[in-house]
Amino acid sequence: MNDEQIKDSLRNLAATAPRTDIWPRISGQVESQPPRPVFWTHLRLRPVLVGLNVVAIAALLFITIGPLGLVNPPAQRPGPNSGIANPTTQPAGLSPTQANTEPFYPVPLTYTLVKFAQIMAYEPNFRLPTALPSGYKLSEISVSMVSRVISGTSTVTLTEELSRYGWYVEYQKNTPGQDQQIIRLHVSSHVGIVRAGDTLRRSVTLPNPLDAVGNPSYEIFGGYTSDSDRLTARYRRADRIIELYHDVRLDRSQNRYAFVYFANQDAQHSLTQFSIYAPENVSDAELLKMADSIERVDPNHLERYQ
Amino acid sequence: MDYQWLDEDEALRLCRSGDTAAYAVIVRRYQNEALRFAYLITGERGAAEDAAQDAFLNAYLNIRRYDPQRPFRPWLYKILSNAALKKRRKPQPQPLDDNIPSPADPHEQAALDEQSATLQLALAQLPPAQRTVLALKYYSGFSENEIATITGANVGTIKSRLHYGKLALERIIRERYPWLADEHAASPLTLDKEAVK
Repeated sequence: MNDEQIKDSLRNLAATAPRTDIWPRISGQVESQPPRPVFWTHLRLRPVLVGLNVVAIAALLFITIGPLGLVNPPAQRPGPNSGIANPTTQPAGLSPTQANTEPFYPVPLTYTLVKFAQIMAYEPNFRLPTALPSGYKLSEISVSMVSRVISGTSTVTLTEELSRYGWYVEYQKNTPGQDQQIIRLHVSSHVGIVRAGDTLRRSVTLPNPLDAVGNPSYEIFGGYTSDSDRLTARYRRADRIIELYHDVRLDRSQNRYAFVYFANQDAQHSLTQFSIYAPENVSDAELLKMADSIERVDPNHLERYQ
Repeated sequence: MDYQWLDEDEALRLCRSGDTAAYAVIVRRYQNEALRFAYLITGERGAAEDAAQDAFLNAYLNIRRYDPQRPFRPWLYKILSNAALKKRRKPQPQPLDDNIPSPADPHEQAALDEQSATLQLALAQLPPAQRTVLALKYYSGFSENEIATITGANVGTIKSRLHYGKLALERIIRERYPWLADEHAASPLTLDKEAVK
């Protein structure tokens, strides 16, 4: 195999990469945070500052992990009047006893979902599906910024530093003797609409922002992009539009993904896009059912979303 | 200020002072190649977008650590390759699937597609370090010294990863698709499609 063969193959692969405008996805965070100052301009100061960083990280962990329950003070758990489900209402298979066997990571899955629900309590786009394809369980919650593993029983990531520019959840299906299957649901809250051909890309507002989806007079930006050639069906519902796509992976296996659009009240960011990426053994019907089942999370019934 | 015609050095200088419009120029200048590189490493469109997004955000937040006396692109790729590796999922073993046509396929064009797809699949199975080095060298066009800077490894290690990466590609193809390995020995993998017609 020569160098040119490898170059050609990599070029072929790269040609199928997404063509996303990254700027709208990070502009809000960039505009709200100035570049970090450089603390060490002189090399000899660096060890001291590294030591200070360790202290700062330890303090930060104490501040953030404590309330999350790693030290697990019962008084810090949501109370019955907090509007947040009590973590003791967890599903079978994750008993408090199990959790306590891991002293450093005693956080059960339901507690992390509870915490996430707490963080997202006032986020109108905190929606999750209730109808998962058979065998799939909620396994991970994360946002685009810093995240960390806080559970040893099930891999669950969560962050206090909630990014308003996207978060995602994953659902795993584990079957003995088979590869693990993963469905990934990503939420882009700040999706805008521009008129097709508007090079200045000025956001427009429509009485019903959903009218822009699939309309050649408009372009949607800021969310995940799709290959329109792969669109297989578009479903219009009263409160959402669902698009189903069939894609082809690098290994030629087929996978499916769906985009689900909801209308926002925010004039600049008219839409919220849920993108669901599923393995090939998830059928169109299952994916559509999952897309149809996305609902505003009821913090008192979190078991519905697991 | 007309940012459209801003040169890179000036844009980066403005970025260091917190000019976000200047950074938008940088992002849009590099985002396509960043997405493609991230896609080569992650193999997933969504993960590539996430990696590029994280990389550009981190690059901005740490822009004051960038030394303007040095080229910007390798510095960005250092952040980008780390972000892409974090987003990369552990590859799942692929069965000898039915999607790859049999070697007896009579259509030459199909054989070409098959060869390309096979090499792509083999690339996806390489260890992350080898795949990253191959992508940096053969797709992004960095020199071995630049790759050493980007990855934090020394040049000898880079040479070794390139060498063993190529060997691994050949081994994967030989073990999983022996009929193609024979064809590789007889003719270049990337045939001139015009000549085939």
